[in-house]
Amino acid sequence: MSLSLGPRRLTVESRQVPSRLVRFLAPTFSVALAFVIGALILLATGQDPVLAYTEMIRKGFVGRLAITGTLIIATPLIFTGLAAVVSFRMKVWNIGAEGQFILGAVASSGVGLWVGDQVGGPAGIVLMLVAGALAGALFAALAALPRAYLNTDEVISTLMLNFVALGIMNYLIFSSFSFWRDPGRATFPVGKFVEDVLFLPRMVGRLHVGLIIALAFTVIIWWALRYTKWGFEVMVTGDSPRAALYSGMRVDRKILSVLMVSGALAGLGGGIEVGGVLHNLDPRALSLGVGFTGIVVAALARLSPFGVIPVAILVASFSNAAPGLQVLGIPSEIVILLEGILFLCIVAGEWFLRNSIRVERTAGPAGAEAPVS
Amino acid sequence: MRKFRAVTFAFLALALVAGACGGDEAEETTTTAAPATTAAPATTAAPEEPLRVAFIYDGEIDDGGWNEAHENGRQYLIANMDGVETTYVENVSPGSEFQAAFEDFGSQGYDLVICTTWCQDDVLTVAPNYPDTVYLSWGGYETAPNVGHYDGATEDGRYLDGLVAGSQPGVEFIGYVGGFAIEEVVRGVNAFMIGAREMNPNIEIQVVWVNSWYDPPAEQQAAQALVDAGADLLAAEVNAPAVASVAEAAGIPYIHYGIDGSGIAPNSWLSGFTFDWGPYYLSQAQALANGTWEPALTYGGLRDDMIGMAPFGSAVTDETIALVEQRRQEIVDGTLDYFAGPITDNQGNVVIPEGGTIPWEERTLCCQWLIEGVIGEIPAG
Repeated sequence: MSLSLGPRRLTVESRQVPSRLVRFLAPTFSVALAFVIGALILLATGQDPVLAYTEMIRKGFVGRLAITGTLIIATPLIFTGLAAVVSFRMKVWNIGAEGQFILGAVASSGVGLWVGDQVGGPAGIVLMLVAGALAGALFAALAALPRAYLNTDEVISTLMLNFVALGIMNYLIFSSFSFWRDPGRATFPVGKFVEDVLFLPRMVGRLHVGLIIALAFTVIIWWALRYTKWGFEVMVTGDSPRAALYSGMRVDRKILSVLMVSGALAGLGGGIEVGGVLHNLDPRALSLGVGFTGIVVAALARLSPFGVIPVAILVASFSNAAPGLQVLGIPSEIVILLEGILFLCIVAGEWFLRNSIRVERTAGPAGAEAPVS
Repeated sequence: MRKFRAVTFAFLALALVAGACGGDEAEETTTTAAPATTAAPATTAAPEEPLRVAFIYDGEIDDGGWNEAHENGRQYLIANMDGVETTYVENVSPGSEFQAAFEDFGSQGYDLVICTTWCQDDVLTVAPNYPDTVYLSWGGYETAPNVGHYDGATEDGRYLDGLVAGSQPGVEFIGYVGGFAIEEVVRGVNAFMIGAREMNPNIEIQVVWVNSWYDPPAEQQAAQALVDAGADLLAAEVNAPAVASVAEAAGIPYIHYGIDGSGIAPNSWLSGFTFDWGPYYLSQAQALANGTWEPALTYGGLRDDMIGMAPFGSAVTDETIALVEQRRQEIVDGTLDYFAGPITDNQGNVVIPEGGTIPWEERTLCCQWLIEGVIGEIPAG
């Protein structure tokens, strides 16, 4: 690819595999650059960037309330981030984590309400979470089966199924008197609450054990991708479906299993949000775009399962810090802005990591200048 | 808004990942967290202990609807009380973000935290840990020693809106765009119809639910569908100004919801009731300052100055304005009960018999039926 600009020509060349040091430095530099650009924008709008960043860190990370608040918001993002990692690793694009998360919440709250306090806490919680994961997996299968066997476009189908899930959840609470809806609460329609024994145990303050489950699944996914036959086949299929096919792998089954595992992770995230935070089916708190943010988290983590954790925590800290920033008179938009700039910088950093630009003079003395990157 | 951002970013992310083919991915690389900056404690000493009040909004304060009405209430509080220091946070989401914000203000020792949307359960999760902070939530009903709730009687305003709509010459088919078919909204539609039919017994109302709390494109489509179906007046119970724009473009009159929006549809504008939260916020803050605050459920209507009327448009005659004022006064005096039976629903069942009514204290439980003359469906109770 090249672009002529007067006497010069810009040529884009892909780099060799970058060194480990460069791969570490590039995102670090990108993040730093994002904060510098953010600071310039803050200055230009008459805000104090030092104050803003100090407050962001303070409200996001300093003190028990800040840390637990951030980690609680990060927990569902870890699940939807992992869901994206698993499917994107195979270059199968599950855009449906949002819907799988929602249906996971629907199923686990349904099972929670159904078992009541009949089976006791631990068993009931396990049932709820299994139901959430199962619902997410089955909902993903709706897109996975046609993708695997009819080669339909999973981007479209998983994306559209998000709206189906949202419609189902809204219907169950706002537009019907379903099993999920509390008939006694007429001021505003809300879901029935599950029994107290089905609340996920809390560790510190409001911080529930969902975080531990999220960390455990991060390890499991990392291990599965790296050390199992399944993971190996996922990676090979991702790199070259044709090679996978020629080597005798059942690519159709792999697609099915990867999408269902991805859906199960998102659904489990929904179940954990119900069990740990909401304790009922609350459509407003479950339709905040957690599934979509998970895609961003996965991309910023460069599809590394362990990368998902710090990225999810960083993004969650932004959300957690936003109210505190506003109290200081810093508009909430700065958080949106920073997220966007951060994202663009990482995208750009990623691009420069893979490509270099060579500036050549097309007129005048021959000889290329040093590549700019 | 938030969701739109999440979706946009998600697709950018997808482009990034999808575009990054051919790279040799390795496990070890992870992005690192924010640059290290020393966190300075930012405690500010307050002069002579003002009453500190925090408002929490789930949308933007200039949304031209729900949140702006509450923000007007905050401004009213600032203007009418000495020794009060307020702050607000907008775009906070229900669930863990609400809870984190309630905790944050509680731990900072705020005297009063007001959540202006449905958040009772998030409040009740946090409030017991901060007994010195009073929490108020919109629409809740389960009080605690430091938790009270409030709600405005939409139906009072909608009845007056119905009078204004029904008084318009030639209006017989009203298009009504609602969010979800929940009790409060249905109660408002029914009261609107009672007012409209008082002026013109031939009026019919077609209700369309957009099944969202905030979805301008859906609201716009719903409004346009109603205009195409022959609506000669539009009314909204949604927050975005989309319905107003459709009415303005179609050249038909328009009734707004919850706030003075006369600027958004200058030609179509008739009126619309307003939520006047200010006096309530003031009374709660003063009670706290005086040490007389008690947890309570407040359901306020015209009588309590929690419901008012926006300015009238030029198409509303003085005669109608006088009638609306008269009816308002009768409601305030308690001499008029617009929910007095008999009332029949749109299935032909008598839902309120002769001599019956919907008592004030049972208002929020109503309605799971649409009144006679309303075309539309709601979930079966």
